[in-house]
Amino acid sequence: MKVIFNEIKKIFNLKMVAILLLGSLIIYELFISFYIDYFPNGRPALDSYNIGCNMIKKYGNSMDEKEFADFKQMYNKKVEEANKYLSSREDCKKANIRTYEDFKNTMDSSDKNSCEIHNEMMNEDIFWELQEMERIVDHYEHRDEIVKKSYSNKNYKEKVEAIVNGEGLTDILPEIIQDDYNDAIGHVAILILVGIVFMLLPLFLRDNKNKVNYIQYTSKRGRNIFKDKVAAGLISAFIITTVQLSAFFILYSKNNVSMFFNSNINSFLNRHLYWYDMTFIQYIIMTVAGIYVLSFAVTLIAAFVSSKASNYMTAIGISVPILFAIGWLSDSLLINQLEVIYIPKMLAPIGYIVLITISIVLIAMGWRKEKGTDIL
Amino acid sequence: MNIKKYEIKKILSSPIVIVLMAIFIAFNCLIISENSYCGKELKVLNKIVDKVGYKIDDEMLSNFSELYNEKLNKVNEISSKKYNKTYKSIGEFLDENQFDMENKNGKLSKEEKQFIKEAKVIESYYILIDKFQSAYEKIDIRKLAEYSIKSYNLSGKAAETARKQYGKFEHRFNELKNNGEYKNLFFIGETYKMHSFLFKDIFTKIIYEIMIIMVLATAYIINYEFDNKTHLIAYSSKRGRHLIKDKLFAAIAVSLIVTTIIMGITLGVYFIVFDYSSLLNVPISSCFNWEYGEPYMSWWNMSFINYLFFIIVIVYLCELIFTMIAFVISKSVKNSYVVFFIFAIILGIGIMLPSYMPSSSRLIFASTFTPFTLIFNPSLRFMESGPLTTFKYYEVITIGAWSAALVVLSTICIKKFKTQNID
Repeated sequence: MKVIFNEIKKIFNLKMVAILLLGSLIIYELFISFYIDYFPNGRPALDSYNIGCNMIKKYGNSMDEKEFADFKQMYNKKVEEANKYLSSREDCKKANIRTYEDFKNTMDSSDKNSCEIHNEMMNEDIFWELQEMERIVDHYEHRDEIVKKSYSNKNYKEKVEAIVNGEGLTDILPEIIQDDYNDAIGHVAILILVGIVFMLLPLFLRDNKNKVNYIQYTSKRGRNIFKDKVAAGLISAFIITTVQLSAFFILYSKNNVSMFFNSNINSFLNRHLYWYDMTFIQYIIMTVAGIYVLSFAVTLIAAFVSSKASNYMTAIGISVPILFAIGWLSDSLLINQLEVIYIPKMLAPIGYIVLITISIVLIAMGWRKEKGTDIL
Repeated sequence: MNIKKYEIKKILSSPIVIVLMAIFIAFNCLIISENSYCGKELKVLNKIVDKVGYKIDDEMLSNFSELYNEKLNKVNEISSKKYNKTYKSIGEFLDENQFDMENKNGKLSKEEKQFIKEAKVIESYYILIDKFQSAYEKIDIRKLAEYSIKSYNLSGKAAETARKQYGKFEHRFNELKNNGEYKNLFFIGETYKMHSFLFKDIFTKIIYEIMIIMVLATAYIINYEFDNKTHLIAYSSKRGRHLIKDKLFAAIAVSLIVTTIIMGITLGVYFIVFDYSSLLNVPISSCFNWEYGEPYMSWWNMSFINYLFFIIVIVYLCELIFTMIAFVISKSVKNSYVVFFIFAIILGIGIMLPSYMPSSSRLIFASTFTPFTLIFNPSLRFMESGPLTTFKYYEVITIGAWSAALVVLSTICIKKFKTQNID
């Protein structure tokens, strides 16, 4: 136990931690802060978010037909408000825009007057709101058709059928919220993996280079130190992942999306459908679990590389393509688009299992070699 | 000489350098092959240029219209045979007979389809000449300047400087307009985006790949003796601490070799897949080279091949600069493992720097004169490239200043090393 503790102390030496912190800060600033500082990003994303919040407040996580009628009434009231506003303006009269209906019809018009009015109205909240509400009304009314039409592939026909017949589809989860989370967590996953590889590559290499390993072999624990080091690596990876994830989620809480946590991700407002009918918070937990699994797999691979490489150039050189490959996998399958309906349901679990198997086989090979290796 | 040779051999014979090069080259080839689907259509422009030339003038236009009408007539011949109908343009024909064009069992044979597709490409070039030329003449550099200053939120002195630079560029733009440099055929930027594919996607990848290998190799070779505990022997030999010069020389030589291999093979594959043979002398500021908001407008009258040459020179020089930076870092931290990561941190800071500068002071321009900003967008080098880097000699100043500074720094490092305690 003491050996493991001391190995962990060796991994978290001050210089390495300082570089890890600085590097994480830079990666965070370059790739992740955008999804928090600029959420919701411009319009109509802002309106989508605001209206979504109000709907949750009023109707709860899902919207039934009665509540929808209420929402439509709200929409009609807004339209009237817009009509009043438009008819009160002189320049609108000139351009022959008297009602909101006129306003919509002249959207793509090349007439100079109406173009100007449309540009000016971009500053008025009400038209952005109306545009978004219209979209919600449309998506709610035609939700079955829209879903069936956009997901006509026969691979997932049954699942789409089940979603249409189920209750989750009427839940409220605007697409910007899930898109924002997916993009952010994908980058966080890569940040964590890079950090782990950086901290763990010296695990064996440092001692091997200093020839400390020969002294370790003669100790009572002997070659079993290999296992201790791997255990120390796994514990350190767990610590790094936990710290990074909690830092991210503390910052993510600034986005203020907790009211959507209990909405089904297969919502009529969401961009993609998913294989599982889970709530948004369950989805977040699933990605977090995925990140832990990935980080343990990467830990074992990094430990293997560290025990095999003869110098730091080789160690980093091998890790670079491996990290690129795993990063690509996490981006296209394992984290960012976890269980999206157009990727076969079993592909992600298979991906995880293959990755875990590879890493365990590698480390087992390393251990077998270590047991029989010659001391020169 | 012998020592230098062995130092170079130390790097090049380590399998990881070779493996990494192979992986990177394979990756580049994959990217190129993923985009090779438009290769056939690109060849058509070469055929056009072979027949009528790339310079757009009255003679060329009449030749081109002859060529086009010939193709149109042939298409109409086919169409009158199969459909009893003639069309005013090939686009119209395609709109109406889309089914037969896409279907295997349609009325058209394979050769005919091939011919019609090619004719359609010729038609689009023919039609677009007018559109691009008149759009080009409408470009207002002042408007562009104000727009880009606004989108970067510049104010005060920074905005003033940017305006001044755009004023200078306006001169160049007028010259470009008057001497007809833009009246040339090139791949349609809008559809194919070949300029940004080659100079942004491919070159950025090449630059970062070589950077990774070079930083690793430099850290490895410079600290080799310490890592292998041979420093006490090596530095007490006759060559002694002068060895560090040999190591620096080896790093620089390897950087040239690696750059040549990776860039050479990647570009070789690129130009085999995409046919540029008749277009090498087309000026890069052609009005067809227009992908996004504004066309690519260069500070100098450069042909495509010249432009390619200068970008290649920039890559060589930047890789040398990165090697020198890695040398300075590895001389000051000694631990060859963290060199790579410290370099990555410096790179990240260099890229972020301009966005942390106050947008009203001239400091923001100073922060862009780094090799890290320079390589960020290779497709915009020597061009109008936004309010922060539209300086005529931006590339020359950046590379010159950084090379000078790095030469001084490395000399200091070498001098210091001579009296350093190495135990």
